[in-house]
Amino acid sequence: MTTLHRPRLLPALALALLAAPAALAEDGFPAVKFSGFASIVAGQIVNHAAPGSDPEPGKSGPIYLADWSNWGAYSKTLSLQPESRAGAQAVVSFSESLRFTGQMVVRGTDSTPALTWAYVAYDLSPEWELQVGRKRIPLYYYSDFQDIGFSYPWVSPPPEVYGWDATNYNGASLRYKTVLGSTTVAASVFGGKETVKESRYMISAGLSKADVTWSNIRGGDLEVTKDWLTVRGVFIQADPSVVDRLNSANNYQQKMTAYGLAANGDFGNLFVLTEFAQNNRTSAGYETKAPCYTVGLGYRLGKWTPFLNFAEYRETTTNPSYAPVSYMRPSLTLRYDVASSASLKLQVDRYLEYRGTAFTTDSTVVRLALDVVF
Amino acid sequence: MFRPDPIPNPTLDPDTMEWTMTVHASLRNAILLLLLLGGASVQAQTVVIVSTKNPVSKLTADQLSQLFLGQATTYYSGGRAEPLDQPEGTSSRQEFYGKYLNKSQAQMKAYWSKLAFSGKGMSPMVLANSSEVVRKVAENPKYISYVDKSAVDASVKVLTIQ
Repeated sequence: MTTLHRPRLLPALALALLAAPAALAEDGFPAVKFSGFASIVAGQIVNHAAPGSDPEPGKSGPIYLADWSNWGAYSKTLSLQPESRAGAQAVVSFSESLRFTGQMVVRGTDSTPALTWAYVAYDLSPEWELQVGRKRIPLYYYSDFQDIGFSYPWVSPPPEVYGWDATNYNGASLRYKTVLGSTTVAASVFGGKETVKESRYMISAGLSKADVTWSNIRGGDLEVTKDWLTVRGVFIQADPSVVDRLNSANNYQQKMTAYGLAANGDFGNLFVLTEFAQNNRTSAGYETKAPCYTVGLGYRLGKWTPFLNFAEYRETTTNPSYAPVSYMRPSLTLRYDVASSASLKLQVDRYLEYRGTAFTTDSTVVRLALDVVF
Repeated sequence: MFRPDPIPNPTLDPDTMEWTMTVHASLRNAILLLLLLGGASVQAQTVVIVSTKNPVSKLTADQLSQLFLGQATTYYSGGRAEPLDQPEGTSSRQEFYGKYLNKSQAQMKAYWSKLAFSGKGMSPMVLANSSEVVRKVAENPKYISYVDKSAVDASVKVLTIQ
């Protein structure tokens, strides 16, 4: 099944090669840097309340959705499929200021490699950088590196905040970063479009052959770091639409506005990760709002990092035919750094619904993950 | 304070052509040697270096940290800056990040993997060993790195970190 749009590598690569000859005279270029990451995650629901029905054909519920975008769903049977993934990246530097980056990812939920990144970056100055091509949407704090399990303390970023119908886009971004004394500032504006063919997210609506498009993606973010504090704010708008290839009666168009505010504090051993976000969508005169937040507290004890988290998601709607979903989820993760580039994590999630879906119910989920970067 | 005993000079035996000392003296000398070596290893320290062609002579701990975290790409006085790393697992790399950035190797790896896989930066170039680091730093004023004090030669300058 195709979840991400693929044939974008060639235009970006061609652009990079066209721009290359002028730079080839420089010493040491072109240079290629390969790297990669992998997460092997095993998990299952260990206990649950009422029975649920899995919307995927041939499966029985209930499920726990750890990854809405890729429909990474755990059931009562132990499985490696929902969240395991591996990625490879190549960065080709043509000069000190011109680079091409390509990244492919394979998932347990989609074994066909998907092109997640393919863009040309040009440093206009030490502060300004232009990127053109295929990238991750920098929606919330962890969005553009949420596949890199090694970089965060949970098994996966909270699905309350990180579960949306598009994760990538084709377009351009302009990034600025500077240092003001002990304060660092990074800001960006971005714009583009994304079409997800046969979106796995739409399984939640019982649609197996629906394409999701985010048109007119435009947004900006600002991240400020000073001493122990990092704060990031983001504002983004897009026009999502759905086309069901099997039944056009399921098609719809929306206007989306989303914003998020993350504040992270790092006090050496003790660290706090917080994020609040809201996604608002208007469709056919009705408005649905989805505020969500996550708050986590961790403590580094040498190679061990216990992490306690609480997250909540609460939809409200003016549409009488839409049943809004609300739930909360405390979780406890224990991370152990096996090496400087590999970690093991054990996480227990307690998923509790205020108002749930047909395929979920109050449940406890246990996951074990091995994250590596290379 | 104890007055130190005079250390007898070793004498060359004209028959055997061997240096001889009293057992007492050679033992004492061995202890002195051990103390010296011990002192040397305590004094072994990782220092921050740039090319002698670089006008910078000191950095604040914040500025140093910003350069090695990829947040700043120029020296405060202007001029492009590029950090260089020692290989993973080396004591100078561990000591440098632990002492100046207060970060473990796993924390640094997590930090760079976040940036590298989201198009926001690339981790510093890694060189094979201290002499490679000194050679590379000497040749271009943009480079900044760290080595054990014993590896420093006249081609590079040790920065004062405040």
